[in-house]
Amino acid sequence: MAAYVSQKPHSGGGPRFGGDRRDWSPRLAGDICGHPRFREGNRLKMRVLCLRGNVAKIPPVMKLKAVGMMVLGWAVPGLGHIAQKKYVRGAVFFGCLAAMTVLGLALGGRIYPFQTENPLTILAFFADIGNGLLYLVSRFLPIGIGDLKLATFEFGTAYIAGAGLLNFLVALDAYDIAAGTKS
Amino acid sequence: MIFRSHLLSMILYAGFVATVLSFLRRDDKKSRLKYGLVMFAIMAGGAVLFGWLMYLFTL
Repeated sequence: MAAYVSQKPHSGGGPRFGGDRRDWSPRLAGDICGHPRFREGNRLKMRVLCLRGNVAKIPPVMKLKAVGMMVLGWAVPGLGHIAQKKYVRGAVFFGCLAAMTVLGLALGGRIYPFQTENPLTILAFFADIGNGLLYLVSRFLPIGIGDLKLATFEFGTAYIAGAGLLNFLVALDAYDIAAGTKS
Repeated sequence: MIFRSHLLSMILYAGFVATVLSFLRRDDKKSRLKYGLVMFAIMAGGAVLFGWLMYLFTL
């Protein structure tokens, strides 16, 4: 790392690397950032722009792809991983999250729309929206209405909300893989 | 009607969450298994313990 640190004096605001702080190369960025994944920069075929210190920025093209994978992962649980050839992980995520959602619906759980009458349901709405396409479908079809009379209503709602929250993490994981910050 | 037992529902829920989190947080098979089992034990065991704690303070 020390080899890349510029010896030129500068006015401050953090260390500068390679003379020009916009200098980049995957290997240089890998060495500077110290991330094991970045050290394989040439194999990753991604351009890591290392601006200052340990901050690595992803170029717009890669970022667009990563955002696309995140949206895929959000729409259908595990699809963002499957599209990146992480078949086992994608299948596990899809199996678990789909099972949680189906069980939640079978238990009479409710998918909450955005409503301000009861402020606590806004939190449930943000959790439910993580279910992606299912949430959108539930706005047009009579699914996830919820049956308060059932003893399992609360558990069903918790299953659906839990699946949504986990799917947010899964979608972010797909983003990280596409961006090259995780294998 | 399925899952009349709340305990069974909770255990299954913990199992699903532990599986997903272990695949998210760990990369190799052995550490995934260990992490998943620990997470499952914490969630299921913690819920049972907390249930008994609430039983002690019933009104």
